[in-house]
Amino acid sequence: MSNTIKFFFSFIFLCGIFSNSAVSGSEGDRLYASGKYFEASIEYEWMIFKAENQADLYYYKYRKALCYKQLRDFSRALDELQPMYFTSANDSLFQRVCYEQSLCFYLNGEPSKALWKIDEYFYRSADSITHKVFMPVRLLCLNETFQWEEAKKCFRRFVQMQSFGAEKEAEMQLMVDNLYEKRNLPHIRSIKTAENWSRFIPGSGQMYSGKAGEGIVNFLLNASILAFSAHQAFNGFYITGYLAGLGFFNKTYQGGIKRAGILASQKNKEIIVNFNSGINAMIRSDFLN
Amino acid sequence: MQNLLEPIKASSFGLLLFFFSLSGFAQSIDLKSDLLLIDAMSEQQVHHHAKRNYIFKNQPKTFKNSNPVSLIYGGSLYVYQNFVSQHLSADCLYNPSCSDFSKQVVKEYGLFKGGLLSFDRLNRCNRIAATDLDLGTMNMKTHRFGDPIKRYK
Repeated sequence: MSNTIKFFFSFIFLCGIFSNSAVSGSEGDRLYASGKYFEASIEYEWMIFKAENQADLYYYKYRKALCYKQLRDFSRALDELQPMYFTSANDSLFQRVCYEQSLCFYLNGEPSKALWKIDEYFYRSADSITHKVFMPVRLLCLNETFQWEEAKKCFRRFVQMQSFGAEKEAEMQLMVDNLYEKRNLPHIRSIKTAENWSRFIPGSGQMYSGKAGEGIVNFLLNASILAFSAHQAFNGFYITGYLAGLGFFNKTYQGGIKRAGILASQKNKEIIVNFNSGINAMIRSDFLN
Repeated sequence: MQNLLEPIKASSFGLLLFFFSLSGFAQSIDLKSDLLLIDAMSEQQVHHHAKRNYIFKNQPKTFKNSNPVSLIYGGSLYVYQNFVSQHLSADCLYNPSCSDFSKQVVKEYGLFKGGLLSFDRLNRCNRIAATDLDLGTMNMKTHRFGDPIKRYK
């Protein structure tokens, strides 16, 4: 190979690397690749400061958000991603930013906002091929918000989007139908029911939420305070009975109702995390291999 | 003929090299690692009610932590934190909560000064005091005002 050709090869290779400033091998990318996410976020902050156009600015903000995601600081990642606005849905960064936003919303414990972001992307982007990557997060969000029918449709669509053979696809669709049959769905505790149970019989809401011991303690606490109040009143200590007895009873009675709601919500979270982690593992093993 | 083909071969190889160098930096969504991240984070999102420890746990037995007053104080605080506080409707205004604050100041300054500081904190944990708190110290997630013991040093 002559020296001229060697020279052109070197020129072409270097030109390929440095022709696109947004994807140049910056220090930030190097730090990110080596797992130093905090240092990379600082480097990207410097690039944001130096950015001369909106495309560069958005790109580095996106990269900085990825650093925060890796650092498990999802609210800061969202702070970086939220202010970006894309006039064209065909912008390749638009899909990635929407995806990261929805993922960070989900990981930040806000599945409704994640769904809102995904729906915005689906509405603005006509290219249904790009929708595929959103499907697993959408499915998990729908499960988390207990929208079973919609989740089933989403999962079926995700199966259709795979390049399975006809037999395998039919098998997967059957599995999805089976998964979302009423008897296989997780038994969700109603927060309202838990609170109402505690409103009528103190402690029963906690038992409904699966914490029998705590329910018994709550019942005994309320009963003993009420008994103390009644005892004081029968002995003529009306002010003590009213203030120390009923005043404290009000705190424990209202607290019991509130606690029953919290326990029901915690129980639901636990159930749905188990359900979603099964689906997550299934997607990883059957769909992404 | 061979001489003619040589530059064509070279330029096609060059083009391949050009696209290869660009694709090396292309950013794609790694769905699998994101799903693994979701799996790892989901476990953390489930609230596991952690038992709050006895104030003098794992400490060498001295007069300071084994006299009757300390034992009654520590025991009642343990019962309050683990069995009573969750049944009350009122939420503490501050972070750390009044009971945690009391634990920390008693550990730091002893029962007498710690007790006085706890008494002061309890007097400030009400709706009237809430109107005069510094909003800059408020945690937007927990809606509690920061009042660590280092402010009293």
